[in-house]
Amino acid sequence: MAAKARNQAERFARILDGFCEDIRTAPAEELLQSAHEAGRDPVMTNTRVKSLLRSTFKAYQQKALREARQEYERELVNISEGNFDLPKTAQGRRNWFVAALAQAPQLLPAFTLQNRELTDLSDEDIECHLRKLAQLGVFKAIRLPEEE
Amino acid sequence: MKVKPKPPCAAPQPQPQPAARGEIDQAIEALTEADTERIEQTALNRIYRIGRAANGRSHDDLIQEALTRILDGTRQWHKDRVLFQDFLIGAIYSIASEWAGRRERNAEDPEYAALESALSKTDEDGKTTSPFDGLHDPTVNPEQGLITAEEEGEKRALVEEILAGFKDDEKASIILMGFEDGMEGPEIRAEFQMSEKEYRTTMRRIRWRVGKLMGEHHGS
Repeated sequence: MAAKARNQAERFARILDGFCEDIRTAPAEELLQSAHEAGRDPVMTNTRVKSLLRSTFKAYQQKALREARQEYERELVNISEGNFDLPKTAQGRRNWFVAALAQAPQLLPAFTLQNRELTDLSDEDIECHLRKLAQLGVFKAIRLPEEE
Repeated sequence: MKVKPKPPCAAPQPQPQPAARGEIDQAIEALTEADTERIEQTALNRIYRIGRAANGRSHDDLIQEALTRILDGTRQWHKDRVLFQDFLIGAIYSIASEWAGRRERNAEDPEYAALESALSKTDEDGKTTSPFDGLHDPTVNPEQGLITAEEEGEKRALVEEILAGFKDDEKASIILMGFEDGMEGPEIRAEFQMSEKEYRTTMRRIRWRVGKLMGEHHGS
């Protein structure tokens, strides 16, 4: 009984598959003629399907835009609140700072004023500078080392 | 010993990039009447094919889902490799299969089950019978068993109706039998020595009648 029932479903599926294959491969003119014979207007179908695709396209773009805006607003809040996930250890933070300046050497003079070398900077200086770099959005453009 | 010289390394080819959104937008605008007819008829066919696995989703939903997956990069369209309309149709095809597969894996999910009240019947004496009455096999979920049996019954009826519609049309019957055996057009033509013209003319008859029948059955 079950096998017979499965056969019915399979017969139906195969007929529709063959029918679908024909829709996929039939010459354009024949397809249009069939539409007219079935009482469909291909011009109206064209308008309807394109409109459906356009609205899907627009909805997708708006969704992407909305998500980007939300992400931007989240970042703004984080920046204004000073919320950055900095490495937990002083050495980790120093590694980030060194990596940032190595990849953005144009920023070096800003942090080595008053004849101070990077090695002279205290852990507190490093943390303060990292927060400034984060506020400037520098971390989005560079590759940071993993914290050990 | 001579060392065979290695062929010079070919310069690495740049990786082909999937189409940008602007290109997808242009492709939509360029769709012809035949393209949109093909897209719509394919989507309808797939919804009919998967039946209840569509779970209330229409052929429009299927088209929208296919485009969304192209836009979000789940399915990457490379415009140099395939026409947009063919790619979209391919996506429609595979999403429908995915929906059908999901239903098969989650057959007992209430999402796919009809309400008992919707399946209950009232006889001439006004007595209401549950669809679960008379189902005693403890190994089968009675609700699922009933839905499957109903669905198979519907499909059997449709197959019989399709075949009956062509009982006096020998060529159409041959093509339909070929489809039932999993054959495609060129195979059927070769096997039954049917000319391209004969095949195409017959297919037009089949397309008209099957399309009408499926439309009536699905209320479209």
